[in-house]
Amino acid sequence: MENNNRKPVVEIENLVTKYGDRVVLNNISTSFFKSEIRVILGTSGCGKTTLLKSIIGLLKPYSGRIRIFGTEISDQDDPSTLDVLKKIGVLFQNGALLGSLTVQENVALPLQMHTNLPDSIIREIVRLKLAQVDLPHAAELYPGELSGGMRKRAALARALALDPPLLFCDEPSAGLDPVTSAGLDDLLLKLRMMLGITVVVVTHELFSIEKIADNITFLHKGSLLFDGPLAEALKYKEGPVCDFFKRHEPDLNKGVTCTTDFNLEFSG
Amino acid sequence: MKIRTQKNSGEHNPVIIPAFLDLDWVSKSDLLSGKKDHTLVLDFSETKKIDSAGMSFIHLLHSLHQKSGGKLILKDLSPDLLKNLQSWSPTAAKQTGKKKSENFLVRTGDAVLSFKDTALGALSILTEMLYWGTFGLLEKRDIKKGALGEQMYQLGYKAFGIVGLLSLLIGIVLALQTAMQLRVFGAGVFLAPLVGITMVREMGPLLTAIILAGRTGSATTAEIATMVVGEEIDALQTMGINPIQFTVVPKFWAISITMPILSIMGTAAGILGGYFVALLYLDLSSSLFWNELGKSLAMKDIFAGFIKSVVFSWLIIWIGSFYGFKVRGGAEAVGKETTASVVTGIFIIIIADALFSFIL
Repeated sequence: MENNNRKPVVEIENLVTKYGDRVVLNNISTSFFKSEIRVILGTSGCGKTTLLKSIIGLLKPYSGRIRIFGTEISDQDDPSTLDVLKKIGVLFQNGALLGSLTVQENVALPLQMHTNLPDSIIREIVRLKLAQVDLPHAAELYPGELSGGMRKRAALARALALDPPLLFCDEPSAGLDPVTSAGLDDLLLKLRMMLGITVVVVTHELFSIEKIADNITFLHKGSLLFDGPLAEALKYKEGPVCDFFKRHEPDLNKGVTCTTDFNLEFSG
Repeated sequence: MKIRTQKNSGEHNPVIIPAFLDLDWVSKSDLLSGKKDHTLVLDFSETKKIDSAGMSFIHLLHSLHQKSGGKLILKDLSPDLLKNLQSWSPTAAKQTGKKKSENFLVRTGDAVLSFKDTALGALSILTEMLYWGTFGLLEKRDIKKGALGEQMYQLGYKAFGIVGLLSLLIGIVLALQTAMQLRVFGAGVFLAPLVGITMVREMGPLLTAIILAGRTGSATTAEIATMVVGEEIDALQTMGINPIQFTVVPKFWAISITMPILSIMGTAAGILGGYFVALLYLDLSSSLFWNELGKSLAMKDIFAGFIKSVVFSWLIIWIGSFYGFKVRGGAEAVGKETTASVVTGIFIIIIADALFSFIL
């Protein structure tokens, strides 16, 4: 990728995030660029979701800086932060749709809160967004009446309501069957192609990674181990990056032999 | 740490381990009890298999002997079983949780710090609720259209029946108990001022507040806590929507408006209960009851009742919201916080009522 010629959309410098005294993210520095699909990956508990939450301002960094569109995220009610938040969409792992509102009310919410558009236009935009995610018949349903895949697509429609140039997705495939999961991946690719948006996806699903990732950010035990194109990551012959790809999906790594293995010791 | 193994040692009386060292054998064994400062030999010559309980048993015996200066010898343990034993060490798991100190001062300090955090959290919710519900509305208005009306319907209108009925019944009980004593002294006429002042100043606002603390307080906590657990609050934040304004402020205004109305209605129902008792039990005339009531009630009593009902309404929403946002965990935590919210709400309301008795 010709990242050097492009302006970063998200810049992370020496990020350290802690839960109490426990360091969850240790000195992470990376940048995400316009119109790329960046996949943050690693094994469970490596800090993927923590990194995502730190970027979108839900977790306060212990130290380091995060800038989105050149603006440092601070207090949620700060006007500059608010301007940035209007430019991002977030698809949460379980959708996080407001249970008391119907699907169309959920999708309309950001439009009602942040624009002065007349209700008729908002209704039209909602219909368009629901059509984009292939959910035109679920407008009147409540989140509790939707299947897992439908809930995620509805949440994606809400995340895209304001046409954000930057979209974050936290494990979009989690809990979905392979067909629905692949459909969601297709949708992300289509959105990137049609709208040119930057997509940051947290996942450990190798099928998804292979299909959508331009670049990957590989975390291991809270540290950044690899940051770059997927093809480069696959060249690793040993270590956690190699272990991750080999153990998860042999087909992706034909011919690659990892030299490391679990090293279990008996100690007390 | 290394496991000591021995082949064909005859120095000590070995304990013969069965072919399958399993949960049943471990649960019947008394090897874990008693002092471990001696040498214990376990004879594995017949053993072919060890399950998880067996492995944990050996590891525990080993660490107990090590601590007490004793020795554990595993005799004739096959290389395969030894390998398994070494690979599945329960002690290899890292201890992540902090060890709780039993020191009194440390525990007191922890309790004080925890109380400080809770108090700061509660104050933060109170200030945010008051700010975003008043001056903050000039800055931004993250309130869904029609939310105030919907909340007034839910918190106020739907509580109308229960508040009215309970107040009427309390009024009847209060009047009846008093009337029995007053009749002995021929002072039945004093029932009207007694019921009137009690209901207007105390029982009306207090009873309404207690009913709403149970009804609205629990609903507020459960709703917000579920939103926290389901990441809905996070979603609002990432959409640039202020969660306090979106979830709490409509409830704050709805209860501020409806609670005094409910309190007035509850007071009226209670007085009506007293009126029925005066009429049917004390044989007082209607005009005498209302005349005596009118004479005894002062503006300051009505004012005190009104102020109380407004303050109680804020307390209910504040405590309900605080416990809602405080939730950490899953469905069980939602239940716990909801219970805590109702109990604390009623407790704080009664304390506030006691304080008001001195002030107003």
